[in-house]
Amino acid sequence: MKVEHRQVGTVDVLTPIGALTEEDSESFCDALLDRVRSGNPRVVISMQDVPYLDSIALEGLLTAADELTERATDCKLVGVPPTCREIFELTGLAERFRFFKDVQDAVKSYL
Amino acid sequence: MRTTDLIMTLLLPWFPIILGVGVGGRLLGKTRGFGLGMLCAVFWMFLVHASVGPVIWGDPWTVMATLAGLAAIVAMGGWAGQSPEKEAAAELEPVGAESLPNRQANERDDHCERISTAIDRFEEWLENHSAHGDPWPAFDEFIRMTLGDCCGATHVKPYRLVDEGGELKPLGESDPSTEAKHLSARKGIVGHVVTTGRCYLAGDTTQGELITQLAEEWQEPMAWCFAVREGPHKIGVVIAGQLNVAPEGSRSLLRAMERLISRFWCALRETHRRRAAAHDDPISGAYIREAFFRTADQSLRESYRQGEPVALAVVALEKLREINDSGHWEVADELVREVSGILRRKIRVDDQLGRFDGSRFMILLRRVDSELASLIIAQIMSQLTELCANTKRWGASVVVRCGVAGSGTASPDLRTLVSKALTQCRRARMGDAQVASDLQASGELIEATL
Repeated sequence: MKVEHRQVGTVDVLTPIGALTEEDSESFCDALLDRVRSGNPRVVISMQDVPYLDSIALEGLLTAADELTERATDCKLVGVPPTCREIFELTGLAERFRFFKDVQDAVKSYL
Repeated sequence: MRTTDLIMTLLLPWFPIILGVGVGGRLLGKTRGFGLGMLCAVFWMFLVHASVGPVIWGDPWTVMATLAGLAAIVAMGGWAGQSPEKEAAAELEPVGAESLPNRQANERDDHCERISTAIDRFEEWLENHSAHGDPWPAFDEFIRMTLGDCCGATHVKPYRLVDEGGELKPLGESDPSTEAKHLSARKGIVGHVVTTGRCYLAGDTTQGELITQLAEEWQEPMAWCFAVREGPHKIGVVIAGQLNVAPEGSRSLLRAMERLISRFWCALRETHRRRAAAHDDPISGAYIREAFFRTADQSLRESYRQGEPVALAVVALEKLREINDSGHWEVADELVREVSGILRRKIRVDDQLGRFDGSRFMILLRRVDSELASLIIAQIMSQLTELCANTKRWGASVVVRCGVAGSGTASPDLRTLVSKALTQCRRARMGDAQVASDLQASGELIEATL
């Protein structure tokens, strides 16, 4: 699993590729929280290449969401596949995130 | 005999007879017209013989007039039988083209062929889909394809009748939790078809103006609509937006297809009912233990093949037996039904639900580890606890507990996973907790106050 990082304007776009489980989840969470805790809290996570995620990844996303909420913004997820979306719905955590179809829409939401 | 007498005696009776033969020939056709002409000619001979007597045969003019009369009557019958419409049709018909009876016979053969194809196709389809958990979406597709191929019907929409025949639900929409807006089965042209059981066919003038007007007022174009019956009861409706065959020439085919679709529908219902009775628990609708182990084992192998984590939860309804023992077993059954409904609504389509025994359910959750499964279970438990709180009035307070075991990295088989989940469930009971998971350290249980 690798996490791609690119900048669209002032927004950081993180793209994990592969299932987020165990060590992969931990490294992804570290990368995510690094971005969130940096000076720029404008972060978009593109999930289209994540077939499923485990509790560690979900926990990391929740931590990121909480920290972003404290800084008056949201944790923005893009292209979440149905299998991952089900997890957010089933655990009742979907309302803690904002979901977008594509990166452009998510980036525009910061404008 | 004078010439005037001869005319009066022989020729005047010709005219009513020749007129009668002409009209008869017109109605009966050419061959029968000739036959009628010959009969009438014999009758005319009898009249002449009776009025003039055998003396006429001595006079050559009388003989000639008699023979001419005979020929004229017979010819008139044959000529009148060849009607102008038929003549015109015969002229227009190219050389070697089939005659009308032949064409009708060919059409009948063609219709029989189509019906026979539909039956063969259904038998094959049923063989391939009878083991499927939910064959209705595929049957919806089958109806569209069959009516399209056999009757040229397009924009076909099959509906099942729900809510005691009050509403129509698309046949392909099988998920009970879907809350899509359903059509009323009591209004408009569909209400007429469902109530009377008569089909609607666009262009059929025998149906009356009111029916045509109702069909025109329907929300979408409608060319054909018929009710699906199981015995005297209506169980569904099929609507076709367009029909690419002429209704007047295909009425018998359309009627046969209506009956055939009803038969197919009933056969599938029966097959599905029998299959469900063999695999599903009649009260909860969940898999019986044997069926659960079979299907969950397949899901587990599939998950391991794709490297997905899996969790198994055992949900126990403690003290359910006390309700049964107090004689309120129908309350216990209702509780089991409602618990099963909640579990079914909360899990995903590829998760598996089974009834382990009288008071325990098993759930195989795919693509989740123990911790995520515990979060999902916590959502479910809050609803189950609320439901079971109502049982106090029946003299027993049913308590819901759950044990969760995850596959982790060891990929254990299903029996091991179930044993682990049962152990966790026991641990929850011993610690008076609602949920126990194999990830939690001993003593660290989710308390009853979630």
